Amino acid sequence: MNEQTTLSSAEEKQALLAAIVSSSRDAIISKTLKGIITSWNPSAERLFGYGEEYAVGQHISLIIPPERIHEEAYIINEITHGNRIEHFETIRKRKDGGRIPISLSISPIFDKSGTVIGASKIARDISHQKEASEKKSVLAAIVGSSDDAIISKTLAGIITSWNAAAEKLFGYTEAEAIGQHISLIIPEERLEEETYIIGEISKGNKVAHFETIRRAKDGTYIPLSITVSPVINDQGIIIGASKIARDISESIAVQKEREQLYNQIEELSKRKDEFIAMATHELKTPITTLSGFLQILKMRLQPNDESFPFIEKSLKQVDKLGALINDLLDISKIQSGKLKLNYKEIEIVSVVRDVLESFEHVNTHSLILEAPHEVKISGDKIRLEQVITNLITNAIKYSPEGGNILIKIIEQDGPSICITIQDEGIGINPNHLNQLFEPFYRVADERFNISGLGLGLYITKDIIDRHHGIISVESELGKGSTFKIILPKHYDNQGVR
Amino acid sequence: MERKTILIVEDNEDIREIIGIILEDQRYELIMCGTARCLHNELGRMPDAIILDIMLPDGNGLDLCKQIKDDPMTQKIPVLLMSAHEDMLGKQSKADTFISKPFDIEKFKFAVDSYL
Repeated sequence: MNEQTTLSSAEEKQALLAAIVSSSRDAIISKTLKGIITSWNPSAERLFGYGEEYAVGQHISLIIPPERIHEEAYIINEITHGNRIEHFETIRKRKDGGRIPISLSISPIFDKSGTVIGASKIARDISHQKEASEKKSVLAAIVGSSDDAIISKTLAGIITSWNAAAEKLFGYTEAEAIGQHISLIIPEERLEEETYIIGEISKGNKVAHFETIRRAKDGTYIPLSITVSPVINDQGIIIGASKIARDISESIAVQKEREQLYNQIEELSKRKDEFIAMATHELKTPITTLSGFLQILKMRLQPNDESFPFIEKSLKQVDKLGALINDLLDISKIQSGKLKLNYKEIEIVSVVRDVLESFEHVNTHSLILEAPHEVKISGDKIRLEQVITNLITNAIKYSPEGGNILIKIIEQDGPSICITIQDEGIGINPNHLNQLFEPFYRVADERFNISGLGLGLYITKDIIDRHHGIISVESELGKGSTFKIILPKHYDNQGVR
Repeated sequence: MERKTILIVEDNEDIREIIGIILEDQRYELIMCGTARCLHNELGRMPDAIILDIMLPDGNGLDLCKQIKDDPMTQKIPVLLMSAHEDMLGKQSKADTFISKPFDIEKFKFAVDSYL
């Protein structure tokens, strides 16, 4: 009876062990000293991908990567001497060829006489552990190499970590800082900030880009931008705070420098405006006087007086001088963004007619206008007059042998009008077309000496741009040029309407 | 017929002389001023028109023009504002017309005549 009981209890024990082995989450394998697999539990099947019926009877090298086959000799040697191998971390091979990091514990199997006849092997998949520890070391490396000071502290304000940048920034070593209260680096007059920060952290809130001042070991005050986030444990409980502090003394200095520069530029620009106003007055007053007296002289002379042509020529030059001064002033206004348009509803055909009237004295060219009766658009009358005047002046200037100058105003179907000014002059070299609207650019032509500062088209284009229009040119050497302006009839902030 | 009075406020002597010559044959009575102070003193004579320069040594023609136009006593007097700064002429000054410098004598005459 007793024997029976013993026997059945041994059977029970074996059954129990078998159950443990098969339900274990670790792979459990046994093998002979020659390496032949003798048992293979379900977790081994899951881990390595081979079924029990296949694996049993195979050599253990089935799951050992070729580059690690030498490990087996070491293992067998230890086992043969009756030694256990614990937590041996290595890599094994799956059926699909994939490698898995595992932790092995291997024990010898003895027979009744105490001779080692094989080995039992427990393999635990440590890929998750490995990942976690790798992640941890990556994070540690980031914190360690960060240029920003990274500090963690408990809710009571005790410093629990202190990276290299914190050492550099505040002057305290990690050993000096850890365990100290965070007030170590907070100036007395700013201690209440800590109460506020801890208050926010306790509520689970982040304090981002808080600009403040902290004190280094040597007593210097450092302007910082700090971001403090709650540290939450596995159970979701806030256990402390992590703090990233960035030294902003440089950016504050840059900002100050920028403000200074800005003020300087503002001051210079103001002085420039004053200068322009003064120069305008100073340059135009003598011209006004000259022009006035010359006109009076001209009035008083008989047209047949031999001095009459001198007066006329002088007046023409004075007018030219006035126009050049206007161009120079316009350029400085354009370049400082001060050329203001005075938008009004205007009748463009009469504007062009008025301009043509001022060219009445021209007898070298025929000016021809083709236009509808009237077209109303929004624009700056004086500036558009200037544009038309510039283009007609150019047309005359660049057709030194005379000819027709055809001015067309075309009311297009859409919300825009088109004005073309066509001459029969010397034309423009195609290579120069793209530079035409640049300041100080002049079309050079060795056959003709054409004067000017090269500002007219630059100003013209700027005025057209400000009217949200387009100016373009078509030209053929020796045949003449056609300038084409397209202007929206009405423009407001919403665009063309 | 009574002669019409024109108050000319211009600090440049030569330009005053030119304006004087342009308008002399028009049988206007011309009062010449070189300063804002002079303008204030002569305004009591209620001129029929004022030709006013913007840049004066002791004042700004734009402000003076506004004062004239805001005062019920003087607001009916036509003001012809004169400047070398075309941009300034576009500003709100309530002036009746603008003359830019340098000017064409014929156009100047025409402008003055049309307000008298």
